[in-house]
Amino acid sequence: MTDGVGGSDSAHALELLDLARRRFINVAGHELRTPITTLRGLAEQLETAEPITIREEIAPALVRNAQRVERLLDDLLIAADITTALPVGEAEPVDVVATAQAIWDATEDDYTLELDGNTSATALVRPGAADQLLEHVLENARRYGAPPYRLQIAGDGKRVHLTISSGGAEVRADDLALAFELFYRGEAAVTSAPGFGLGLPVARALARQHGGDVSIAANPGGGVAVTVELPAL
Amino acid sequence: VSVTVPPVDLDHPRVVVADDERDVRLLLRLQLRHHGVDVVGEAADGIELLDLCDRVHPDGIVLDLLMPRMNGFEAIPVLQREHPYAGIVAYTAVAGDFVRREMARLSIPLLLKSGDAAPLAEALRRAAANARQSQPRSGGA
Repeated sequence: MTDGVGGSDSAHALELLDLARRRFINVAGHELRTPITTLRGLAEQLETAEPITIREEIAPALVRNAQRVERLLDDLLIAADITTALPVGEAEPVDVVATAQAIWDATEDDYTLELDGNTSATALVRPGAADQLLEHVLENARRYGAPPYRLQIAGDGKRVHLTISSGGAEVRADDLALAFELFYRGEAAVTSAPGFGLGLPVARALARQHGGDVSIAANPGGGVAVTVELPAL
Repeated sequence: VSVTVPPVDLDHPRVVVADDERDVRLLLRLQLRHHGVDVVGEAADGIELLDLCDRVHPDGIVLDLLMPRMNGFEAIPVLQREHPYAGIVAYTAVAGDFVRREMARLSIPLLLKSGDAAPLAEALRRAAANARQSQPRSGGA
């Protein structure tokens, strides 16, 4: 038996572990159930659906949902500091503004990403990393923020700074402080959109793999600004 | 103004699907057809849903609870006030104690998302029938 202080510390550590375990199971249940049940249901439609429906609607949806499960697994590994899913290969020049714009434009709504400052900026990142990182940051803005959405570019020759800013309600200080905590989801996020609480932790892990970082700050009047820092070409 | 409400055809109820996941909407459109339920419109959030209901006056509503802009919890009181003849079925990926309690309090059937749409089709028929039975046949304003 440990002494009182040690016992209390151990009990607290176990409580935290239990909390993390329950948070993980909860979000995994939510985020995995939707693509898996969709995959099952769509696969069952293949027997009876019209060929044109299969080709134009079901097949792309099957691919999207399989990719979603695949990405969730990669994100989990990356967020847990397991290096096996981190991007590999030599860093290469990527126009991160064009990448961000393409990701933004690929979604189905009509919201605009306004560009402030430079219309291009080149960072040195491993293949696939810029897409993965920016997808998370942009999706975070879209899910939990509100218009206007802005992308601002700055740099000092050694670093590229992309700031993705969104409007919306004022964000609580404790939500901001926990934004990079694994599986944490802000108060407003819990009832407004599904999510794993992985986006910003994964984005930060990817940026740090390249010697960069991701940070978050509250916007005056509401919403947040997330800044991604990456090595410049 | 007197409002005449046509009887619901329980063999082929007309429903709308509100879910921010386009592939869930696609799946439900395909699945429910096999169960004799006509999906007459789709919405990606609560605001689109209210607009859609104003236009198509559905017999039933498949309602995801977590959606951007206006979530299902926020949409329910407006739907119950403005579209009392539409039976609502809450359809969600996970349901904790709060969600279960709230849906029970509001007398809204709650189903977990599943690959099998038969229970959802049945719940929609029941909800549509109940909504009609619990309302007067005409109203004034």
